[in-house]
Amino acid sequence: MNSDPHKKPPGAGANQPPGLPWRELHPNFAAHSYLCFYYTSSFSGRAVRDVNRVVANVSGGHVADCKVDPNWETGTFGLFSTCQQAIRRGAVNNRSPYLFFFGDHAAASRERGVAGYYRLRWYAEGGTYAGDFCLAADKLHFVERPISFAEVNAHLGTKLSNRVPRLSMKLSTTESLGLLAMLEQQPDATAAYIREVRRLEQINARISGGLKYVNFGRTTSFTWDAAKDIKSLGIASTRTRSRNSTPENRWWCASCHATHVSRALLKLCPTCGEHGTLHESQ
Amino acid sequence: MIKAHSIIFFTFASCDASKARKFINQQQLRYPGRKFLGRHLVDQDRDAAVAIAKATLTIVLETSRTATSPEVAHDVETSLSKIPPNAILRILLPDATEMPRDCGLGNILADCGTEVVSSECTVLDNALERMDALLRHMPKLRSSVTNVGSSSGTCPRK
Repeated sequence: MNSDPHKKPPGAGANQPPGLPWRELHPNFAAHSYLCFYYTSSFSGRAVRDVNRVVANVSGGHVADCKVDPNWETGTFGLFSTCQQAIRRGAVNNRSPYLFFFGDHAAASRERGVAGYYRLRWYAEGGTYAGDFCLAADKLHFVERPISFAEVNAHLGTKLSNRVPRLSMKLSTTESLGLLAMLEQQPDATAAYIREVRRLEQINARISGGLKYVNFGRTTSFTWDAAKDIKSLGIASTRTRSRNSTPENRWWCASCHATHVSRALLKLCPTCGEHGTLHESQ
Repeated sequence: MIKAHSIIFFTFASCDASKARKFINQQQLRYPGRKFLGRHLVDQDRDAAVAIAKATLTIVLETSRTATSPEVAHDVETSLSKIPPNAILRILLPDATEMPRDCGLGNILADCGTEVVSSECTVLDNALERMDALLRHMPKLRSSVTNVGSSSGTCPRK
């Protein structure tokens, strides 16, 4: 047994989870996969996640909603965020082989488009709510020119649109393999995505006195080292599911009693670093 | 709210002046709605600072020789020390290569999240569109920073 659950074994690939508490998903290649939404940045020529996202706050001003998934840096989904847990639960329960990602402005002319996929291989307990998981891929493939929904529909007979899916949908094996083939026609540009994320982080850092992820209160990038901060990774949460956004965008930590402003519920308290202790502040 | 970068300052190494001047003149024709101020139009650093003060975007016209240019270093520093600072975009002049990543100027530009694009028309159009979008976004981003942080105390619910 690995004495340090976060230590990477010798020869581990860039996207290989570092042993326990990660468990093999043993994907069933006959099972359905998922097509999953993410917010894309308006400030990059690549379809990277919206690291600089803000939303209007009901009490005035704006509140940060820096996106951390898809986390190309680690090849994980849900390791650092709390959003879209239904997909992770479904992927683990069904042993889904692939997770495809589409962005709101990913395709040319800023339309919705499919940017890439994860080939899923591992999962870990450690979500914020009971039944949530963290997912990790052993292969990532994201492309320079994401494929528009119109093009996907023409090739696969799907009915993707500006409204469908809203956040996610299941893909049959045939659809998954077709989409995989379309994406594989372009070389993998994941490294360029990561460079762009790093660049966009610097925009946040420059105006905030060093915070790369403003609402996380985070001055460093997300890496496998950052996963070490999730102390209860591998331990199933018993917390009852609740909303991960609130009208006031304020969250209260049951451990240190600090309150925070963030659009989305964070996994860790930005003040004390405890996992799963933030609650809606009323 | 300013919706677009209407005044743009171009800086470049003096050894690239000929190429840069040609590029700026071409682009001014393509973007008649924007006012382009080039380093070649000013004689001294002091005049460059005045031009930079008027602009909201500073464009570095880059070649491998930019890294050692005192003019570019001055203009970038002046642009970043403004309040609010100018946005910065790096455009590779035709047939030019990027300056080394680990040089002083390269590090400064990387630290503020500067994008590097080619001088190809479509690429440039899209990059300027993104710079305009970022200009509109910055006040919101700054506002989100003032909202961030924690306050200790008891939750009203408790």
